[in-house]
Amino acid sequence: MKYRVCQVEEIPRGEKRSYTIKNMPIVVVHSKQGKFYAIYGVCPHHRGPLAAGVLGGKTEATQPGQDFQYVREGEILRCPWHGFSFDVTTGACLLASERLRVKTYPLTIDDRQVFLDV
Amino acid sequence: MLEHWLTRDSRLLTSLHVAPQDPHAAAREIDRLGDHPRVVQVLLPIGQWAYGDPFYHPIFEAAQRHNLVIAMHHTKAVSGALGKGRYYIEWHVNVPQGAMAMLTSLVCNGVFDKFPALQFAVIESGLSWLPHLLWRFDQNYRSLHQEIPWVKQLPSTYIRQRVKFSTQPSEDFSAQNWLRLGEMLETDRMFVFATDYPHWDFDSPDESIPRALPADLKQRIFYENARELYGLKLEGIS
Repeated sequence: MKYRVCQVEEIPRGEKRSYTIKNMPIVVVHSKQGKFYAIYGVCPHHRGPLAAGVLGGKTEATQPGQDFQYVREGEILRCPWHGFSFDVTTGACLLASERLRVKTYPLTIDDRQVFLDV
Repeated sequence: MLEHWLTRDSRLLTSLHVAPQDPHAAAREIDRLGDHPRVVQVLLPIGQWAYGDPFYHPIFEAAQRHNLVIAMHHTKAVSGALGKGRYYIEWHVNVPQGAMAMLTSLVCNGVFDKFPALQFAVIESGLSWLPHLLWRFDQNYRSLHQEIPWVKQLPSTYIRQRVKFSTQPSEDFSAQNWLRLGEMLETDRMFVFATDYPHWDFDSPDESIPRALPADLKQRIFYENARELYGLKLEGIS
């Protein structure tokens, strides 16, 4: 079933907004690349509120002392409680993908309206 | 060592002692003697230096070149988080803190990925603290990994697969607790028997490891794990 969430313009690129859809906390992300993603808003670690987390990227470097590359900006959501990070495109926890995952939901855009499929 | 002891008994193998404060000189010493068939490891002191620092990496490069294990043993320089204490017993109880800090340093500075063939041995620092370190380290890694992105696997994975711990001092815990420890660590491959004879707190091979342990676990502790640890080097002389 499709639920209307918001207008495209309500979430600037690189930002997120939180909504309650069908009594569920949902975080909708508008990536820097212009894509929309929706994930369940509760961290599976200790049930922290992902809506209050920081949307950013992740660091990359191959050895100590090397300059960090900051990649995938706007696609990694970091829980405000313990810093566990989730890939908003898949819901996988970056370092415990085998154990921790948040549910993702398909979104559709129709006439500049964002709809969530639940 | 080479001339006086190794000539007396073909079963004896030895360590190469180097001065880590001069890593390039240490590497030259490893290159000089590292191919001796019965030198199986480089022995580094745990005291005032944390070897994860890239300053010390020439030692690891040289050890890896010669298929040598990096073994580490505390010295009098090691202290607990609050110093050495007022009594010897305080220092002696807190010795494992040095090993814990060393493992933290090695993992966080990417030593395990940079030197993928290196194996490590922690000697005489106990092992019953390992579940705490591995659990705490993994939990912190999940939260703080962005600071150390060169570390590609869970800290517990590196330590479980690449570090062995000597059983002495065995802390006199029961067979049941040995089995619990193995369960918590999810492996029976981390323990290697050591005696430390004739030091005052030595372990007897007949008394220190509970007889009630399953035969396959005792075989691991007394033989197979050490064989695995030194296997690369021993292939040359077996």
